[in-house]
Amino acid sequence: MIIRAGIGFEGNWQGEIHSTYAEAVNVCVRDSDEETLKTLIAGEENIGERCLALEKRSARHLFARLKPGMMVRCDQLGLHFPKTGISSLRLTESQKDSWSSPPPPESILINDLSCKFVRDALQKEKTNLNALPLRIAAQTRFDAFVEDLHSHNKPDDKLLAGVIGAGPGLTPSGDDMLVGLCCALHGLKSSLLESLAVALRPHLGNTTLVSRLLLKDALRGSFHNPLIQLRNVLMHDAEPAKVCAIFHQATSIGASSGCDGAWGLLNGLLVFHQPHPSSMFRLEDTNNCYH
Amino acid sequence: METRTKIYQNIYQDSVALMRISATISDMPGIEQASGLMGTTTNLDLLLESGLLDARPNTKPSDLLFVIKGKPEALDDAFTAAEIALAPKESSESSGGVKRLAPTSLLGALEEAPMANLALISTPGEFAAAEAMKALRAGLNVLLFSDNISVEQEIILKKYAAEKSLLFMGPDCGTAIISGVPLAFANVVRQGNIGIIGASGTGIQQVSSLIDQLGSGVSHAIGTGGHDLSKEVGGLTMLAGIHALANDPQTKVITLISKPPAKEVADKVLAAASKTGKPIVVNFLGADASQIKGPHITAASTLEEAAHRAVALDKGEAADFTSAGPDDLGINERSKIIARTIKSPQRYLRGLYTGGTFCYEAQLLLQNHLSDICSNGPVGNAQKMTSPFRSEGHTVIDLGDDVFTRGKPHPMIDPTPRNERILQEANDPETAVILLDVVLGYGSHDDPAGELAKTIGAARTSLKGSGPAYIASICGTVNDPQNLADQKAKLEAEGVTLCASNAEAVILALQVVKRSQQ
Repeated sequence: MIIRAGIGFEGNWQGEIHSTYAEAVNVCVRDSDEETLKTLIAGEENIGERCLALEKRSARHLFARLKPGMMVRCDQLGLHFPKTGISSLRLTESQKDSWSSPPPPESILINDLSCKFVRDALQKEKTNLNALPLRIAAQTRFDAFVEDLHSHNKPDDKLLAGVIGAGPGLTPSGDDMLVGLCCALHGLKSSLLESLAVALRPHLGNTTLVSRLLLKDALRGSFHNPLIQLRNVLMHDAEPAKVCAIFHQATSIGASSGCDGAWGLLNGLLVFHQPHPSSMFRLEDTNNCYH
Repeated sequence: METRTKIYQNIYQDSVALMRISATISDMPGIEQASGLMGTTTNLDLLLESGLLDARPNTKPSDLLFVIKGKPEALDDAFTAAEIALAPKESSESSGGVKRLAPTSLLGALEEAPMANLALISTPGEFAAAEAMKALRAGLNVLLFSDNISVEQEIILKKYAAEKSLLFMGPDCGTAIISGVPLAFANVVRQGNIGIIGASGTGIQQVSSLIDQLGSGVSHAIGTGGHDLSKEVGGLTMLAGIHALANDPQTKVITLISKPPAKEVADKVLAAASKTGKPIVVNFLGADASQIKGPHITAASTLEEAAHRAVALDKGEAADFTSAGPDDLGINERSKIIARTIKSPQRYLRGLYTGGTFCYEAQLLLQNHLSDICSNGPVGNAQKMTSPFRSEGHTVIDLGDDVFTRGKPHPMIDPTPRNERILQEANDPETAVILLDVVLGYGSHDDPAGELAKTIGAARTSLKGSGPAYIASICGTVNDPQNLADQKAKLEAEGVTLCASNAEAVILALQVVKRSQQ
C-alpha cells in the first residue's frame, strides 16, 4: 500500500490529523515548541520530503476513514492509528525515499518558450481562479510586492504583510505565490531569498498552520517535487510535451494552490533572472577598485 | 441588507469547495453575497476594504470565517445551509459500507470502472492530446470533446487508435451516440438500424432526431471531429467508423454527414462505404451531388433528406424524399399567411443560429435565391459581415462562433446572447423574418424554447404587437430531457411558426421574405 516515504517523514513521532481531503491528509506534529507537518498523499510517486505516498485506491479508502483530531503515530515499524480500528501501515526500508529537495541548478538560465507556455496556460486558468473570493486582490498585492522587491532590492514590510494570508484556501493564495517566489529565488541563487526569510518570519503567525509550515520549508529551500520539476523546465530546455505534463502535475496540487505556486515561480523567475543593478557589483569588489 | 459573520473552528475545505458552497448560498432567496475564507489578518483587511465586513471579527488564522450579506430574515436559513455544507460528511464505512470518492484522473476512473471501454475527454486543449493518448494506451476508445490540438497530433492519435483497433472520435467532437448512450451534446433517440458517421455535431443531432421522429432508430452515431475529412487527416475516423458499422450486425443503413471533403478523401470514403454492401446515404453539405455516386450510395442534399432517405432504406421503401423547395405548394400557402403580417420597410431575413451546421446549411439553401447574404461564417456566395455584431441586409449568423463565445458558454447552453440579438434584430424596422434553430438534448439549456418564447414575447410587447415574423425548427425528440412536445407548445403559444427541419424553415423564411419584397 505504501509507495514511498520521504526523507523527512520517517522517524519516531506522534501527531494529530489536522485536515483531510480526497487526495491528501495533513498530520500536525508538535515536538516541544516546533510544529511540523507530515502529509499522506494518494499518488504514484512521492512529492516531498515530509510526504508519504500511498497507492491511490487504498489511500482513498483510508483517507475517507480519517478525521481531524485523530492520533497518528510513526515508528520504525510503520504508521499506526491508535484507537481507531484502522490497521497499521508497515513501512519497509525499500519504501524509504532518498529524494530530497535539490540544490539550485548549476546554470542560471531561463527557457523563454517554456515560460511562455506556462504563462499562457495560467492565463487560461485565470477565469476559474479569479472566481475565488479575494483571489484577484491576493495576486494584485503579490505582483505589487514582487515589483517593489525588484525595484528596491529589499522586501517592503508593509507590502509583504498584505500578501501573507491573503486570498482563498487553506493555504491562502498569497502564501502559495510566496512559496513559488521562494522557489524562483532559490533557483536563481538570489540573496533576496535570505532577505525575504528575515522579513517574512515575523509575519508567519498571521496565516494558517499549513501555510506557515510550507513557507518555513520554502525559506530553507525545500519545495514540493512538482514545483521543483516545473522550475527545471522553466530554466532549462524541455520538450513541449514534457512542459505540458509537468505543468499539469504542478498545478494539480490542491484546488488553487498549484496554480498560485506556479504563478509565484514564473513571476519570480521572469522578474529576477536579471539581477538588480546594485547586485551586479559586490561591495568588496567596489572597495578593491578604490584601493 | 445586513452582514453577519460566523466563525468555524477545525473545519478545512479547499478553496474551490468553499466557492461552491458560497455560490449555492448566494443563490438562496434574500441573499446578496456569501464568502468563506480562512480568518487571516490580511483576509479580514481585504473584506473590510471591500465593504463586505463593517467590523473586524475576532478570528485566528486557522478559523474559517463565513460572511453572508442579505435580508435579515434570510440569514438564519443561509447559515444553516452553510453549516450543513461545511459539516464533515460521515464515511459510509461506519455503517459497514465503503465511501466512494470521485476519481480525479483517467486512470483512477478506470480503476473504479475496469469494464469501461470509452473515455470522454474534455480538458483545456494543451492537455487534451496527452490525456487522449493515455486513454488509448489504456485500451479505451476515445471521444475527444476538446479542440485546439494540432493536426499533427490528431493524425498521430488517429493512427495509433487504428493500430490498436480503437475508435477515436474528435478532436472537437461534440456529439455521439454509442449503443443508445448519448455522449456530450446528443439527443435521446430510439435504438435502431441506422448508423451515422458525421463531422458535424448539429448535423448528427438533426439527422438522428428526425430518424427518431420518423419512427426508425439509430444503432450508433459516430462523431469524427471537424477536421477529419481534410486532405491532411484523410478521413481516418470516418473510414474507421465505416469499417466498424460495416461489421456491426445491428446497423443496416449507414449515413455519412460532412461538409464537402477534399476530393481524394471523398473518393476514398465513398469507395470504402460502397464496399460495405450496406445502403449508404451521403450528405456532403454543399457538394456537387453528381460527384456522390457509387454502388449502394444515395446522395442527399440536406440533413432532412439524409434522415428521410435513411429511414426509407431502413424500411425497404424508395429513398426518394426531397426537401421542399421554393416552389413547394404547402410552403407557399404558409408563406402567404405569414407575409400578411409583414409591412414596409420590413424586407430582410435574419438567421440567428446556435448550431453552426444549421447556419451553414441555411446559407447553401439561400444562396441561389437571395442576393447579398452576409454571414460571420460565409459559405458559397455569402459575404463576410463587416462586424458580426451588426446585421447588414439578409444576414445569417452562427452565434456559436468564437467571436461570440470567447469566455462565455455556447448559446446552446446559455441562450442569453442570442436572446439579446433577437431583441436587437426585432427592433430593426427592416427585419422581416427572424429565422431560428432550437437544439434540445443533453448538454443544451434546460428550457431553450421557454427562454426564447419569453424573449419573443418581450420583443412583441415592446413593438406593440408588430415586428418581424419568427420561424423556427426544433432539433430534438420527445424523450429529450426538455421534451420536444413541451418545447413546441411554448413557441407556438408565442406565435412562432415551426417547421419540421432546418431546411424547411429556411425555405419558408425565404418565401416570406420574397413576398415582403414584392
